[in-house]
Amino acid sequence: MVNNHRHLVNNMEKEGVLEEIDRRIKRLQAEIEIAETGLRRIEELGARAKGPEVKDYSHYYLAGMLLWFAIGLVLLVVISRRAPSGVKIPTGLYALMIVAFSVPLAYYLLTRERKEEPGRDLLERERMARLVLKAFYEPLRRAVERDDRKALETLADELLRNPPLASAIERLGEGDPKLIAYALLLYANFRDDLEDEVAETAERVHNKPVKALLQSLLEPKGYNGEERSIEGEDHEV
Amino acid sequence: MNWRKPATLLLTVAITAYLLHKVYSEASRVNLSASSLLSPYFLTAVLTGFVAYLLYTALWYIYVHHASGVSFRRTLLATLSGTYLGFSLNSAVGVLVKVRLLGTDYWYTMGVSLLAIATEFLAGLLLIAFIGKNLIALILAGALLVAVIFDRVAYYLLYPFFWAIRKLQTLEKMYSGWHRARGELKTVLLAIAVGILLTIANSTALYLTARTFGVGENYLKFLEAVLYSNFLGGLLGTPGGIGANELGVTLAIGDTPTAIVVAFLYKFITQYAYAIVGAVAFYHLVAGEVKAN
Repeated sequence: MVNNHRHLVNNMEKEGVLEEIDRRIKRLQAEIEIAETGLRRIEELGARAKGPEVKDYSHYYLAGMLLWFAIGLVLLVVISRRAPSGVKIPTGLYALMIVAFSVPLAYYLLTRERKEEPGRDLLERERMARLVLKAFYEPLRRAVERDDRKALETLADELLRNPPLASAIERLGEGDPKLIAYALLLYANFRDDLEDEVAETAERVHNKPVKALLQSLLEPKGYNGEERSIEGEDHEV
Repeated sequence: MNWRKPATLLLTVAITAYLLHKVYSEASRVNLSASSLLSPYFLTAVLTGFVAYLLYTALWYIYVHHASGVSFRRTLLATLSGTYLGFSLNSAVGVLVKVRLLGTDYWYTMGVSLLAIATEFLAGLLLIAFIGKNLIALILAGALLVAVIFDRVAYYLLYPFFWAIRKLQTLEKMYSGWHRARGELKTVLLAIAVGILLTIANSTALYLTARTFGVGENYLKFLEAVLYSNFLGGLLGTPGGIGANELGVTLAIGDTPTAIVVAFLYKFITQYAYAIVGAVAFYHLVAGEVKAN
């Protein structure tokens, strides 16, 4: 390997990156725990307040009522045509009412996606946290531990090819998945002439473990210069 | 939810204003003299209309009380609110409000609703069949009687249809609501008896109103008028407001200007007046419920 003299040569640097990763893992585990507690509480509250789950049929009801109304109106018009009478039937008003009642129905149908149960948000966060843990931080930790650059490349690929994972990372505030993938690729394929690029990327990337990973590549300022020359330590088991 | 109270008030005021406006515009089209409104015929008609409304509530009470123990007063509040909403919007809305007021479940209240309508029609058809010796009325009455008393037969008749639209669960719920409301045979027979009294009271109120204006028809015509009016005003899904109801009456007793006045006044003393009372009752109940929440 040509340029691997800078890849986590220093145990302390590796420890630093691993520490950052562990911190993220702990944060996500806490997130999962919070979501689980929240869900349990919602369940308990719901069970106490509502008894068995009550389904909302109001939109079916409204739609059925409107249909019935419309059929009735047609029948009424037909009957009053066939039996002309001095009695005036406010057909215009009835038609207007049908239109007016269609508005809440349409509103409901358009917005019903958002009116889900209260636990949905927590459930979603829990699911995302699990995904990010399993598909990102755990492989990252393994790869860093063994300084396995092939695995880091695979992980970067996974980030780019797995939209659910990418969006979960983004929505949980773990950073920009594309930038993280780029940073991992940069790290895996590091050459000396990429130093500026690495510095710039380390500056931009918000994910702390990845930032630490990139920074470990940069020319250490003075005092630990000689540590770079120690080779062979990168395959520690 | 602070907006609920003013919204309810606004809606009640708007619907009541519409109601009063329609009553006023209808009344102004005919020449009403004070002497005719104070005649003994009309005053008796008003009284009969009141009795008819109590009988209507009693019909509901019979179907509701045996299963849920709801009081007569509560049932009256529910029927008043239901009359108001059925008048101004749609009887389906009326049923929804009754569900809340009676504290029963939806299918049960729906079942009671349908049963009350069916019982009223059944009573009217039976009277027409026996007084007028009308075969068609008898056949229709027989069909309704089967549906009310042998409800399992109706269930199996409807089964293929609901199977085809894959809504067997809905049929099951409808049947359970209907069956629970129906109760024992004793309940049904009592309800039919009250339904017959109700139909007689209604047609008598119509008869007396007609007599006030010198319209004298065969009593059978008034029975038919009540039936048609119930059908057009209550069963069609259009607001049971002014128009459809009177059309039903004039279909039976003729289409003269006087008949229209009679139809309007009859509906006023048996229904519209109670819709206005119902508006107030409804507001009180809803406002009370908002406060309780």
